[in-house]
Amino acid sequence: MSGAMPMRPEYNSEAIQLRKRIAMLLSPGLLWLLVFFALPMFFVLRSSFDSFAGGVMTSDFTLQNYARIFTEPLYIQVLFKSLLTGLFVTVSCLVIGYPVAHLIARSTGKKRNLLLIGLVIPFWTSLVVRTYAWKLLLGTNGVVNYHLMQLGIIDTPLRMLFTTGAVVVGLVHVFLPFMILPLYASIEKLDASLEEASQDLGANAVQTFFKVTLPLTLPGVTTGCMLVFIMTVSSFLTPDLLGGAGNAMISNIIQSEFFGTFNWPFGSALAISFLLFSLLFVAVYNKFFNREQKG
Amino acid sequence: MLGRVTQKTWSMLVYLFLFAPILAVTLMSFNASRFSKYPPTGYTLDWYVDAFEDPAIVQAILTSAFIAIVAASLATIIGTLAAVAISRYSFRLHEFFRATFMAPLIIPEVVIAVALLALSANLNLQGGLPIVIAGHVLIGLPFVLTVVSARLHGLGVDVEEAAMDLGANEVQTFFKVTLPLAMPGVIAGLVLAFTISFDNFLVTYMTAGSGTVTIPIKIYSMLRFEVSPKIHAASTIVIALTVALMLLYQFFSRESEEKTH
Amino acid sequence: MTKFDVELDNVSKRFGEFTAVDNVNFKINKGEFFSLLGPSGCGKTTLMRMISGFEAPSEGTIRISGKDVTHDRPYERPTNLVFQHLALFPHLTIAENIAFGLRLKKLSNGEIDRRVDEMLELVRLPGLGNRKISQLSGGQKQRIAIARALVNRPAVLLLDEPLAALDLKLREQMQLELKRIQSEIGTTFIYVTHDQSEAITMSDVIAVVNKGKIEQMADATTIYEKPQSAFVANFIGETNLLEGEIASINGDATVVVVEGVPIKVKSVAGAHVGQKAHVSVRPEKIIFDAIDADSCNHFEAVIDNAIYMGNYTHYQMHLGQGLKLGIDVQNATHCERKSIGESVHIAWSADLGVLLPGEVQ
Repeated sequence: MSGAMPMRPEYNSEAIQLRKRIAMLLSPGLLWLLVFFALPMFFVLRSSFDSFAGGVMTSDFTLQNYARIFTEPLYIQVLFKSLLTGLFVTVSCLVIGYPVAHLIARSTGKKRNLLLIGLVIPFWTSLVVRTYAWKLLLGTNGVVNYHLMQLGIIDTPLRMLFTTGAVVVGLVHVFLPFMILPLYASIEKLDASLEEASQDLGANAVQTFFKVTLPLTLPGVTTGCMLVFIMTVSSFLTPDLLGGAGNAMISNIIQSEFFGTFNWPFGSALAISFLLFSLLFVAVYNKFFNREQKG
Repeated sequence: MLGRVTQKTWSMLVYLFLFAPILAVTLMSFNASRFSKYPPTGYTLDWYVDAFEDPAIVQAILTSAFIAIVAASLATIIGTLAAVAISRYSFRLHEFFRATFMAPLIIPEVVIAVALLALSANLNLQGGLPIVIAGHVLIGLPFVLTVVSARLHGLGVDVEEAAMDLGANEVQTFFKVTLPLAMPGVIAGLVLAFTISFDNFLVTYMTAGSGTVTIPIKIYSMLRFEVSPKIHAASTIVIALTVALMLLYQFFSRESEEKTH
Repeated sequence: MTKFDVELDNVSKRFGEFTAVDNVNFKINKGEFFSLLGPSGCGKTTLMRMISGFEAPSEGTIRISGKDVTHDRPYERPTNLVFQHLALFPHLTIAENIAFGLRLKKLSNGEIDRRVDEMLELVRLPGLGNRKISQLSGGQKQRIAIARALVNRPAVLLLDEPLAALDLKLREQMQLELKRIQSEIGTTFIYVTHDQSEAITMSDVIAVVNKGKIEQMADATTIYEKPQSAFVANFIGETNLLEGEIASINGDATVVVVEGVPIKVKSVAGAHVGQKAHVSVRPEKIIFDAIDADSCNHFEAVIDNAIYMGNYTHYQMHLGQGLKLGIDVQNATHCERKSIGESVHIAWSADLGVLLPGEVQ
């Protein structure tokens, strides 16, 4: 009489009501994502199979756009360069940011709030403004060159703008807070007495860092690294404003297909490839690092 | 770690690095030299006067504010509803839906821009306000969801159950207890979404068309076509607005924390 | 009208594979102080959540004041709950918290004010209505949570370990306070707790819950003096739980052999010779004495340890064959503290032990 008994009607209608309520709460967001992302992505996918010649698009279901990405060395080079830049910027942010995150996490009260606000202000200041400001700093007559000459370190101004170096400095500057904030959250949760216990048991500061602090704050490290890497690889404005002709990254290439050559089919193919690449990267990353965090 | 002194010195240098561009722009906006020579030899407010007298700049700030208000409001409503579902109920595909709402955070902005461009081409729109707003809502959603979910999570379900136990049905519970208590989180989400929209560059740049000029786009185009220190003045105004908003956000998220304890 | 406020018929609750509540039946009289007592995870909280409407039973029926409420929503039931962490609304004042339920019933403002004041009187916090929740101490919050529930005049008030967060002194004070409030208003209380002394102090009836089942339901004296299972004997208070085999049954007198030692105990129905059984003897029932009567257990033992506990001393000792026992002796006078290694005579009347046939699951 237990297992085969049909569900009571009242009980059933409760479940239906609950499901209705959840659907009502989720549907505006899902609808928005569907109309303004999923559906348009379908248009992009469709147009990525079109061909483009002499400024005219034809729907003829071709794979030549995708073939071009993998055969023309330029695109592989840009991808490779973007990934390399991403890696370099990520590691730089981690090394530069960790001591700062640690300092914030281990301060208290007003001082901590001040340090956090100091991090959040540049974090949210207009990206365009922050990026072009580096032109004022790194230009031939800029602030850095002036002080270097004042100090007698150099005689003639250095050419710093429109180089890979300028792009990297700009990117580290833009994304550093994205690294420090998750690191801070992770270190803050770590009980300071664990570090003290390690030192009490005879580990010096360096050993304590590598044997206790770093392993226990790995979730923050992985979150920060993923955010910074993904954002760096897809950055547009910094290479656009601070880089030279050879410093274009993936987003710049895609943008120029749409607004420079107007080759939408090829731009679409690039966008689709970039999207798949990003999703794959995040999936693989989560697979590796989330398992580690849970274990 | 490191040694306290080294760590402090290092951190100060990092903060200097973070603030250097902001300080540079602010300094140059008061610099009397037309060519932004460093170090400044004199100070002036002329560039602010210039900026405020340039109708295009004023219009761009207003356009940005309008887009940000509309986009942030929509993102906050949509995101709050989703946050309630995701942090209060368990259902099939729960993780999938959460990941879907968070997706705009990891999808490259250029891809979102391309998608919206394709949409407006297929609808024969010339880009413009609706498409820009749609994109800004998309980008703001994960931020609202995160902030409001965190707030709801901190509240616990206890108070909602208490309301129901005292005779409030689901709808009454939501409006009398859940929403008032989640309010600091909702407002914090609104401010975040506003800031994100106000500062957005790439989606706006690629989808706005020529008719819609926001302040980041205006500054970007002035950099190319119109070298004048009033760029610095306009930029400093934008910085000041963002800082004010961020302080507001800090205030609400602090409020949010205090009320949970 | 039924004389029962709460009736549970064959109520079970399963979460997936796990059975949290397993075919529970009980009836609670009107105006009773009823406790659900058990270790954490025993199912007492699930029982309470089913009575208040936050969980629906997988099977069975729940009636409150004679009405079937099994599938009513929490807001449709004449029950109110005092939450473990109180769940006071931080965005409302004290008066607004208490008035919450009344406002939903659309009572007039005058009536609401009157009843809120009346409640503040009852919980002895008159005039605090305009304060914020954050301005209250732990004990005061407790009283407001009780007032907020009682103001709705529920048929049943459920309390989910509401005193667990308080320190010992305050907890004891609030126990008396709760008992006073209950006798003043006469509402049925269902009190959920894992603290046996709390249940013993306050309850008219205690239901001991273990692994989703009710092990025993009785008043405090019966639960303590006549436990029906080894679990109850062990969970309530301290006891010597001696495991052995029934060697003989002779009318009222049963002998259980434990580690070679014959222990005399009063017979119970349903036991038979050769059966495994426990004898439970409370440590305070055993005395230092050399009585040698038929109705008494009498042994020589060696003291292993003596622990001074203030009002009494706890002795750990072993009998010749190695059987270990614990004894509590009141420190009524200064004299007569035994020392470690000392040989002593101990005795207890056979009817002070409790025979619990069957194995412990």
